[in-house]
Amino acid sequence: MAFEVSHSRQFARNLANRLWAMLMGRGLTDPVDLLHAENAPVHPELLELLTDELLARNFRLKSLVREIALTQAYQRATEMPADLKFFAATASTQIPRLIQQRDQLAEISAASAAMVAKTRDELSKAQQQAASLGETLQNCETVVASARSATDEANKSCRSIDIKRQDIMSKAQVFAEAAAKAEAAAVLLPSETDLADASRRFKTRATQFEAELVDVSSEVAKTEAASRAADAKLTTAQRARDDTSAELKVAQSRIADVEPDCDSTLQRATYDRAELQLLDSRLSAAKALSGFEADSVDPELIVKSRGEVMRCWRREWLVGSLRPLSPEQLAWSAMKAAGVVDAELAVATAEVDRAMARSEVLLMDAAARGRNIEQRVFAKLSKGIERFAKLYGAPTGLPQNEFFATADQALFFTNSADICSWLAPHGENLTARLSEIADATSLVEELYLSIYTRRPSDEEAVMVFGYLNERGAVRTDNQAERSCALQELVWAMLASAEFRFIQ
Amino acid sequence: MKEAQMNHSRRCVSGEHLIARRRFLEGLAVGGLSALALPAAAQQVHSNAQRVLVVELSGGVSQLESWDPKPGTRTGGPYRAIPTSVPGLHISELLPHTSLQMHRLALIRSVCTAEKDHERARYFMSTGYRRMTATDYPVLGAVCSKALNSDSAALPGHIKIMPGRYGGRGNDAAYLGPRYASVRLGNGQPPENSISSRDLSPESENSRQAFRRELDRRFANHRRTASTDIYTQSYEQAVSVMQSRGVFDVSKESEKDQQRYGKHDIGRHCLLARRLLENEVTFVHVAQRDYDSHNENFDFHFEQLGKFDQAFSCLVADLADRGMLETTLIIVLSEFGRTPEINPHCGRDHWSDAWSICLGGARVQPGAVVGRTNDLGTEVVDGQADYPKLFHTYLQALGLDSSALMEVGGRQVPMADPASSPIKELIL
Repeated sequence: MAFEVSHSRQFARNLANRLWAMLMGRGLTDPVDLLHAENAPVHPELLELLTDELLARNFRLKSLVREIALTQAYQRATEMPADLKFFAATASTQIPRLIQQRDQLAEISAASAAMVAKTRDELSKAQQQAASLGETLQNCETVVASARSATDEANKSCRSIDIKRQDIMSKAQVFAEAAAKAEAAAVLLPSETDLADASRRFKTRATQFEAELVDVSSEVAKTEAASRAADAKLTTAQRARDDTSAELKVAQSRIADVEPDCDSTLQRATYDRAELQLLDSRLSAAKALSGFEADSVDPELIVKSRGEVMRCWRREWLVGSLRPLSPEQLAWSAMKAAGVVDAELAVATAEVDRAMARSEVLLMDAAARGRNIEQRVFAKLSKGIERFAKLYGAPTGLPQNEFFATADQALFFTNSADICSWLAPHGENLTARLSEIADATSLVEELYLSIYTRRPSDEEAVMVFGYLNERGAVRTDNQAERSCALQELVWAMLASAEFRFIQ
Repeated sequence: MKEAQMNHSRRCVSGEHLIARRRFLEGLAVGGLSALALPAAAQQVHSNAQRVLVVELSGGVSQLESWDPKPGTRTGGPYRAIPTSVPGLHISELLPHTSLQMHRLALIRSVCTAEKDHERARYFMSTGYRRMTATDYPVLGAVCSKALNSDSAALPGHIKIMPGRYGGRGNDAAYLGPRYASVRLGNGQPPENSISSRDLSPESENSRQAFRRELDRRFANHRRTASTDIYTQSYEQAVSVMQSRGVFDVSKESEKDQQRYGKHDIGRHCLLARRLLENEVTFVHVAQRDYDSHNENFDFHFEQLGKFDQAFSCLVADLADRGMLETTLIIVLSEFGRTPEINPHCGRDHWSDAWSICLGGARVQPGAVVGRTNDLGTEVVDGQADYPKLFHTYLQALGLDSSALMEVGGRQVPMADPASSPIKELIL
């Protein structure tokens, strides 16, 4: 059964949808747990294609992940274009066509929905008929069985009465012959009266048997008639049964005909509905975009329109979806960015090398040394990771894929001893490194590369520089203020949404 | 959320609220939905928001020493029954102060729950569902927090105050998600990590929060989603928890109030509950322990209920004084009651066949008594109610439709067990 399940198309489709959701932030069918015929995927053809590919690759996920990662859709930025005006003119020219398409599709979709209802109706009628025929057939079988036992009974009594008749007949014959012979003997010896007596007795007996024979013969005729009647009944019952059985076969073949129709019309309707939703979304985006044609629009409307366009574009992965870091990813990334991991790495490396030099451990090759160092770092930091997992993860046994944020997470990230210790400058950690950089441009660049793994825009550089300036922390000789301000900047960036989500 | 407000606006009939509602509706008429953005109108809606106070008498309080006394009978024990502020209604003499508040409260004396194990009964009581393997249901606090709490609330919407070294987030929201789980204040201590590091000056704190806001604002320009909003809002709530840390400090209350409530745990915790409710926290759960009196039932109840009576009666009176009773549902519950038969150790054992729960405030009919037990308190003779029925009743008392569905991650789940229904005669 496990084999059957794991080789079904539905299994492959489910896996494909989940794989897509993991990579793209949202399933083609969403939510991923509700993958059924009436929850339309955004792009049904794409989901079927992925399913085909997965089956063709014999469920080798790695190669399919590679394919998805190579798509334009995967590589799209999560960022919206700053100026939507560029799209406005095209969008407004598209609106009439979109409306037309939408209306056409609405009709088609309504028709396919009606078709689903119709085929479903047909199917249920055929099923009902088959069910009632099945019942009738069962009744017929009962009738046939009882008719058969009746004929068997009748045949049996026919046979037994016949045996009786034969017995009587043979007796009658024997006595008739005996009477004739005795009579002849009595004629030959008339003086011997007991011979005449015997002849009379034989005759009486013979007559008696003849009479019995007549009775039994009429009885035979009666039972034979009964048997014939039973036979006729059986034949009728059998005919009725065969007729019903034939009818049932017809009904079943009708079900077999209609069932695939039902599946295909449902699929059709699902596709149509998905396409209609897609067109609705495109139309909505185009309408929102067309608003950007005019230069003077009120800011509230702009925000609203931008939001709408973003929602529609995300729906089709025209802009990428943001995905939150897992609790463990968040902890490791934050520690990596703040320089905590590197500091522990340095400590562990020194420890391992010292231990090797003192021959406290066996000599290791480079790979083993690397593993050993990594294990030490992991052991050192795992307690902190656990604290993150507990706060940022859902409780055991609940789905871990739903994003949530709570005040206690934010309070932990704001005030806990863990985070404070990461920020305080020491050794080679980020804040220590930053305070050594005299040149403001390089400082901002190091800050952005370490935390956001990207360079700052000019505007952002100005913003950070302004912050340092305001805090009196630009000059390296003002160490106390500088260290303070740098910790504030690093904290704010680690706590920001840009760090929390994968783009 | 919206539905809850609408429901609520329908039921406002008192003069004061009628005016408030009219003002709100005027705003709607002029500005349409954007009226919600007007500070004045928004303020009105907010202060009308429904809240819940749960006082849990943990371990199983004796109904015979509290809400359903049977004096002078074989099962009644040594205590008398005293008259209350509701003519004809008597409760145990262990609750003299509460007896004067009964015109604001209501009793259900016909609770029959068929679960005598502490843990399982507590689960059943707090979720309205019997515990089964492989399924988990959210507690009342999580459901109320989702249904009633505003996304931009300053303080967490589901707070649990209990004796002991607890803290952090409870695991009690099941499929509603940790966002609606309880924030636990062990011994009434403020939330964990809510105090700024010593090394950080207030200016530094403000400054880095401002910079974070600026970063998030820039990010939201091009990448805003529901998730990024939830994330940035969690930091705003953290900031307001830090700023209103004083709310969690009952020593800020007058000495007189502290004396009035009592300086014992339940006294301090009820006073803290008042402070939280005054600060718009949606759901506050206060727990008092040590009612599991298999031995010396009468001494224990004398001691524990004495403290409860003092604190609880003050809280009810104060909520009424502040005009908060109409918007605050009060529930005094327990996982089960105690046996009418007194055991050889002068104790009473676990008992779930016929016991009582006290409600009040919000849409609960004041002074009502629903259900009845027989003369010895051994059996419910009228109006039997179980946990699912009580769960429906709580939600209904808040103006929520307890038969409604909640949206959870794209699917619809019932707010309360669809097989049950509320106690209608208790709801206004």
